[in-house]
Amino acid sequence: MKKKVMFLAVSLLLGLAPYGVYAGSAIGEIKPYGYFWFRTTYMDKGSADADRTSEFAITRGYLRFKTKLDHNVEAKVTLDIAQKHGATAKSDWQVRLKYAHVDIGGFIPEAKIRLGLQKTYFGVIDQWEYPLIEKSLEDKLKYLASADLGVGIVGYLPQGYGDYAVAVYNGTGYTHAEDNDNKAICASVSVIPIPGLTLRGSRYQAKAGDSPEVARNRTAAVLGFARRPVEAFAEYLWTEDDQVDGKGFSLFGQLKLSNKLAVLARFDRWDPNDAVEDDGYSTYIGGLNCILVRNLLLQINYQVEDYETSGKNNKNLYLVQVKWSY
Amino acid sequence: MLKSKSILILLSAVICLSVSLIEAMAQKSRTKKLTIQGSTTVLPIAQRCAEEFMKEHPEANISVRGGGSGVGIAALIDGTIDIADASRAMKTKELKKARVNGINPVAHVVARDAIAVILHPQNPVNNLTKSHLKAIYTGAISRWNEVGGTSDVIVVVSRDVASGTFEVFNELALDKQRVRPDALMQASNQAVVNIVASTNGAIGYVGLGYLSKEVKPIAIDGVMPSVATAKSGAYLLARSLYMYTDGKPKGLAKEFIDFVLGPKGQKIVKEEGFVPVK
Repeated sequence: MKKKVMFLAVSLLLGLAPYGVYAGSAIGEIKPYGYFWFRTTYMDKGSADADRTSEFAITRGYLRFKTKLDHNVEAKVTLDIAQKHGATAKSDWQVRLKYAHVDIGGFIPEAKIRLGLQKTYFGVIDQWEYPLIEKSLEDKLKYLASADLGVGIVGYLPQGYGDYAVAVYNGTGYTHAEDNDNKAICASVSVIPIPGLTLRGSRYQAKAGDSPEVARNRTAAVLGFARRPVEAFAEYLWTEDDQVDGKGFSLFGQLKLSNKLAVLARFDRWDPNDAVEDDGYSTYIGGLNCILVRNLLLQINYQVEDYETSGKNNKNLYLVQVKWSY
Repeated sequence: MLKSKSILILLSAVICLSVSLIEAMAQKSRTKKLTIQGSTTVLPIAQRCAEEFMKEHPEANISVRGGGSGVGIAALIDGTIDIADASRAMKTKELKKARVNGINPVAHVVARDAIAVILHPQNPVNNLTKSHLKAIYTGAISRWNEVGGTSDVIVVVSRDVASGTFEVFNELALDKQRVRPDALMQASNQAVVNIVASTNGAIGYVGLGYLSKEVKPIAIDGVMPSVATAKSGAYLLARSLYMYTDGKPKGLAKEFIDFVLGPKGQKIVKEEGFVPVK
């Protein structure tokens, strides 16, 4: 099965390569775009001096380029510029490839074959555009990487009634090289039966290691609602890692007070091991987003992380961030 | 501890929701305002219709802006405007995004736009295929004898890239390929007519409303440009122009769409060089 998947993926890549080269002769414009986040954080997790920290940081910058090689072929590259934590003065920044893929359309109606480093089409992780500063639940808990190398098909249901994505990945995420021949398979389907109501189901199935192989499966169900001025979603997530099952959910709501101002709230509840009592924790986030000028968003968040585990201090985070889009 | 935090957060969310809903409803009832944004091609129709409409309805305040079809559609999806002008139908990707956001886009075809390909009156060529036209404009064909004409060099005249006419021509005739770099890029339809009328080997394209005796319109794939062929869809270089609303239009938006599709609005459509749909 594994070999068949690999064979299919490689055949697809080789088969399409000449088409990509041919299409590249009709060169279009290269468009740069992206974001930079400048953030200040104050953290309080205890009474000792070491428990209280504050920092200014450019936590992340996305430098993106896209170009149309042909009316059916598009290429996108995203460089992820981040500051290393605890870095020395000589190596305080790192540039990583976040996304680098070629999209080839024309084979399947309203769908593209996507080759390369691409999003992980799962739950909320590929839809989360950081309305709050915190990552999506599955990303924050590191149950999934937000991008990975592989081959995918992404498409739309007719008349905008939803979308779907199927992909085969390395399974190691964009920050690590493949360490074995076990591929991860991911599938997601979203349906929008009526405007404003979205239902999404996702399954990510992988194995890690060789002997023994360990299952790393994730499943998510998402219910989204939007009707101006309100946007909300509920995500239920469950994970299977060898003998350990984790379960939890994330609730998010946003209220647009005007075209420039919104209040936001999120509540996450996570139990990392179903079989163990009192090891869970909750996250409460309240936020305010304000568009200062076009392409400049001010985000103010207050976040509390509340642990059930005895001896582990709760965290209070005060975050202020400016997000510049270009 | 956990309980009191949850209650506080829930209470804050409910208060904010109530205040903003009351404010939004109050604001809506106070004003009779309509915001329109989108295609630069549709802009002259929307602007003139808005002017005429406001003369008849002094209580109405209609704001019309350009920016392009994509910009207008994005604003409709974000819920920041009432009507999006578009010179193309919404893409599936945009329809999906709109539905996710609780927007139900409804298309109103307000006009048809046709582009006539014109030559110097003495040029013997009367018909070009789409592939010939594309080859001429992208530089693959450079003499008229390659398409059944004289040995004259072809002088390519185009609208500048900012114009809606260029956008249509580029999409429908050239499949979005780049126009040859030595093409004479003109800022108006009339400038294109003037150059083609005074240059033997010239080829150009203009909106249907700009045809005159000084230039010769030709058939594309055997179909001549006319109001009838543009309306029927038989002519290749023709497209519909849209105004999109969120759901079936109501109130002022309905009155305005009805005006555009009525006799006065369609007269404006014709005067602006487009093909009326009614």
